[in-house]
Amino acid sequence: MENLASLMGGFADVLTFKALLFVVIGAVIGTAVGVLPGMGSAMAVALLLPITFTLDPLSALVMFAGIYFGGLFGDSIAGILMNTPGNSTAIAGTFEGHKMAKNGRAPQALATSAMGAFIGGTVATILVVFFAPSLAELGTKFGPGEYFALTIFAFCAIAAVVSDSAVRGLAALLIGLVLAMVGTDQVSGAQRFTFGNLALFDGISIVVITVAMLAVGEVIFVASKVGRPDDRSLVPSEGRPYLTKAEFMEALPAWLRGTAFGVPFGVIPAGGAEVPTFLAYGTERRLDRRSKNPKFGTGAIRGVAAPEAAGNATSGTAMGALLGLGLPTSATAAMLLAAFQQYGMQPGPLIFTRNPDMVWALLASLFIGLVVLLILNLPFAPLWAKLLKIPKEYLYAAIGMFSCFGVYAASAAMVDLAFMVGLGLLAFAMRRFDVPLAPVLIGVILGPLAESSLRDAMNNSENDPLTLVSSPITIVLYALLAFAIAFTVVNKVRASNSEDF
Amino acid sequence: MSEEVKEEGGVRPPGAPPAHHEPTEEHGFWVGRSGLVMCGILVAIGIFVIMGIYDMDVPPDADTLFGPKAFPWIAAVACFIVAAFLALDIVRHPDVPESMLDENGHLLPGTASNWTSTAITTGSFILFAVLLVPVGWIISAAIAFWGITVGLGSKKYVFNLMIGIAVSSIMQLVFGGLLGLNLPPGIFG
Repeated sequence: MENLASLMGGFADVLTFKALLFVVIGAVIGTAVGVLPGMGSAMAVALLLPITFTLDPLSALVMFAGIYFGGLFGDSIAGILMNTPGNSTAIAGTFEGHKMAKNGRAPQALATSAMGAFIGGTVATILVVFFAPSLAELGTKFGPGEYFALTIFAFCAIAAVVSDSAVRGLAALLIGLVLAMVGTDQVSGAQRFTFGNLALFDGISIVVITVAMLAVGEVIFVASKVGRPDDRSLVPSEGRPYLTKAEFMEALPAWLRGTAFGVPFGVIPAGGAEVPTFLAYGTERRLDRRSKNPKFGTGAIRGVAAPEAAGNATSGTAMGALLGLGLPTSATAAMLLAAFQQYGMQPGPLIFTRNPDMVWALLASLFIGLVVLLILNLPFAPLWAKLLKIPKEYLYAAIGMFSCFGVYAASAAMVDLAFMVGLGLLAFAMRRFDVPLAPVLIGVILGPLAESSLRDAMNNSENDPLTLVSSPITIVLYALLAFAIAFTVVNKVRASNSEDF
Repeated sequence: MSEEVKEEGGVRPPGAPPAHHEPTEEHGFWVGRSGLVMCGILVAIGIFVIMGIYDMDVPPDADTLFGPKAFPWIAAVACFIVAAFLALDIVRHPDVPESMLDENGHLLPGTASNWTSTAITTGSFILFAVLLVPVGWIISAAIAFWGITVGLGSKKYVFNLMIGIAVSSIMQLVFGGLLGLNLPPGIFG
């Protein structure tokens, strides 16, 4: 009950006009970038970070809370109406969602998706309120061996399990790891890969990497497709934007099952919500096939409900992992970590005792953000879709300009602009040749933690490799990892043996 | 798997086998194998890392087995191994973008990427980086905006330049004026 009292304190901090205003601003920005193809909430936070350092910490964090969930609300709009999911987490919901739209049920598909995101996010955030402090307590028992196991788990999960080609996933991961090594070595103070360039002593900023890879790379990729066959057309969304009681009752079990899939994946550093959204979609599909009149393939409401709920549930509990363990399990969480650090706070086991006011205010604003997002998205989803009618040359020119602005504003260093161009081109090549981008970000984010924990563990034990598997927590993590890899291999073999995925 | 799902950004459901598209007729070695560029990039990164390791000044007491050079060595060796496996995969399974094949699996004429557009757009970013300090935010950002619209195929050159100047000026006012961010004034300084 102590947690509830703290949460009420958080609500008291956030229920002021100023804080609410920033939640609404965050929710609007989050939804808008979610709607835009190729843009996600990680990008939005990355671009806003340099701008917000003039704000007080509470306003900034509360705004990021709105953006955090907003990206997931928005990205399904493009997927459902245009069949071009704004983000990889929206793909699973697009299969049935776009079919619903083509059958003239676009508003209901959008409503199902918004409700799913709301339910998943709310359930997960409630769990975080109750369990994050316990997670933080568990986190205090984590030593270098445990943190190393967690990062290895994340690397294997993102490269081998989430990516469809393990070798391409690993290639992307390595690029991320190398980018993270540039700068002053945290342990010995040695300069690495700076070649004497002062501007590189602090390393390459995560803001620069995120903006260059996700935004600049996307702009160049879109340019490379000009005049080439591409079929993007918008299905209009007209009609009642709410669900009938029958539709609601049909979607309800799928929302709850999706949430159940999403919750555990937020704490596991598997690099985001792709896996749970697809697991949720696959489960609904299998359940549907057993029923008397299967609806999948013709626009099944459950095929939209479950993945959407799973996606936001994952984001919700990812916040718990970030606050409790200091471990970012997705790119957006990593950007939030950078935001905390900008204000001198370090998420992790100690944050609940060091900055309790800020943490509980943040958790309270997550709830408020979800309500605001539901209001913004349920009746107004067709309005948001109008964003997709902006001619693409202006849309991407504006994105490009904002990227230039964000990169320069982050540190006012010319070397960052050079990295923006170089990494943008690299990201373009990766898109063109089907190398996933997500592992790069995970490598950049968790690479330094993996390295320092490995070196600490080895130096503390006089280079005894057994120290890495000496505690129950590490053994459980490695066992889980072995299970996940075995599961993936079996699935891939099965998938290549049958026509039906 | 649904046949309608486009391979946007190379994302496919996890667990589904990658769909390979290869022209049915005879084709040259490089058709569908341009992905070997990625192997080249990986090898270049590996070489860069090894050069960096030899360039590194490490305090003698820190130069132990798991010192600052250990992780870079692991990464460099892994770069070469992954590059080799990737090359093997690409040579064995050439993959042409789906949009470049007609329904009979014949290769369409032209290149998969519009290189003129790509060059103009990339050039706009480079121009911004070069011009920012000498001419200031408003002009360099407007030029970048304009360049990207041209790269993306818009023909309204004058109109787009005006929009570019308007947007960059608004950003200067809001972020420079109201929020106190320091943007280079350039020739207006």
